Amino acid sequence: MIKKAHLFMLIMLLCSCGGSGPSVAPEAPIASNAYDYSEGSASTEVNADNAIVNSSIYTLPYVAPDGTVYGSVAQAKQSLNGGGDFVATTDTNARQAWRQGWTGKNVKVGVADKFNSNGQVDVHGDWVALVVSSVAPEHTVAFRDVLSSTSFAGFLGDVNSANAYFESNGYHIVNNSWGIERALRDANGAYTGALDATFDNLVASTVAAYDVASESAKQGLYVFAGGNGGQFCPTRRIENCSWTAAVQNKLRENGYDGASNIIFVGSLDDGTNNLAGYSYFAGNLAYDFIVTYDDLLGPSDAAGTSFAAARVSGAAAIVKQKFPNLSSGQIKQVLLQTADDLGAPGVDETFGYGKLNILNSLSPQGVVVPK
Amino acid sequence: MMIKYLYHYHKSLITKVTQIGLIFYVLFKANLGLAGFDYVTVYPTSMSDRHRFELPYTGHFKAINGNSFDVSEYYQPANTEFNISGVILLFLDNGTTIRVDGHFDNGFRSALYEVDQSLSFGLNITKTFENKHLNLGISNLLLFGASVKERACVDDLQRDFHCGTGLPWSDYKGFEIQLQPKAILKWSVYF
Repeated sequence: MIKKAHLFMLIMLLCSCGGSGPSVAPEAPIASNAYDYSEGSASTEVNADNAIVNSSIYTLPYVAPDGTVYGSVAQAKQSLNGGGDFVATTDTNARQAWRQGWTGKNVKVGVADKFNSNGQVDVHGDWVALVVSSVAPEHTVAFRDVLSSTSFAGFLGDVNSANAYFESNGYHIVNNSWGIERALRDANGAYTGALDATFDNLVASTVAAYDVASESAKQGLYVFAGGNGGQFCPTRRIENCSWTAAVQNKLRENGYDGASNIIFVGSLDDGTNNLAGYSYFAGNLAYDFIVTYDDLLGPSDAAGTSFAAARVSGAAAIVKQKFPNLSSGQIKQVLLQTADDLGAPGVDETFGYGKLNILNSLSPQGVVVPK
Repeated sequence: MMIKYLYHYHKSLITKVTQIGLIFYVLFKANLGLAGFDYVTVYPTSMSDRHRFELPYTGHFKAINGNSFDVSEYYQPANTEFNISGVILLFLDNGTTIRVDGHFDNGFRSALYEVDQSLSFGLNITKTFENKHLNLGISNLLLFGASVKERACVDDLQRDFHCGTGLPWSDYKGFEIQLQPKAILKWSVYF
């Protein structure tokens, strides 16, 4: 099983996974007084803009996912957006949050992804990090390459090592724009139409080996790309198609809620409230699921839940800056419960809580009454 | 003759104060005998069933997500609004008039915004030289009380906001009532 699994580990960019079973909705404890909403120090919009133009990668050559080469990220931004903001800044309304001083400043975001340190912005992790910066430009970032191993065991070791680094160094948010899926891909990352026969065994063995103690001790908020194989995975439900989601679903079936600090992110088609055709349904993990847009630097320049997840990581950084005493699970609840409801009223198995709304996460919600 | 002393008041109040002041003057004027003074006059000049100070917030605000909120009900007074003004006039033997303006306000109590009761005073001195009057004074010289207390609103997520502005409570800098002292120097010649 492991051997079979590791073949597609090498091409698992941009996705996640699944299992099945009864919906086990975790509680939504947002109104608890245990939430400490003491507010952190605000920054400024000017600082946010300066953080972008002064970032070390802003002047590096940029190679877009479609292979187009630009002299720099700055040039690509200019070219793709007509001189305006990065697309993720625009479609999340992040600039409005910056104007309130919430820029993600001093919030530590770890990006576990693919990196190559070649002096160019040309690999998946670079792109993901750019999107996080587009939303929360003043966050503090660390990169960990977890997708270069040629074996599944090596991959797991890299992930554990990265998470250990992030946890021991106080990283608040960890972006995971990768996944293992039931739908198989080829060496170029394209879906083949075939399904991995070992997927369920992989999920079962992962659940069996799940270290409850160490997983429960994690402090970070783990943001996972939902996965991109919606057209290739039966039922399209995330717990059926994404390894991470399947494991969490199975854990819940077994009575353990290991997903309290995990968010799964799906994608919307550009400019619409329609779930992208490749994005999985929220399924059993509807109470852990949020959706947002999926472009990279400019409109329609890329697609994938990888870039949607990066938006949510940036949004989480903004919320964490504003409410530094909230735990990762509480930040998750703020993001989820301030999302714009899409689809069937309330939390549903397609969109989960709905569309990320950063400004809602910073604004009064519902009935406002004297304290 | 007393009417001219009323020009210290806010312009919009002049007519009302003048009318009420004259009535009070007739009804309630008290002349006190004090050594060194020609005579002393005390009388109220205005009375109102409203809080003296303008409310800084209406309870309508727009959050940064663009949503409008109306919490004006929490800025409605729950106490009896009341304020009264009066003057003490001391006519000295040498033709000098000392005038003390006094103002009492009963405060304001609402769910989100409170103002303590207050007293304020102004001082005005007029010296008469035959047909000339030199008028010196400071209105709104002293204010006692009028401390403002505000309370936060909470939303469905139990987060604190200032419902006057929509700002996060921690970003709200507070509001303080401060009278603006106004110096008066007037030289009048009557022919």
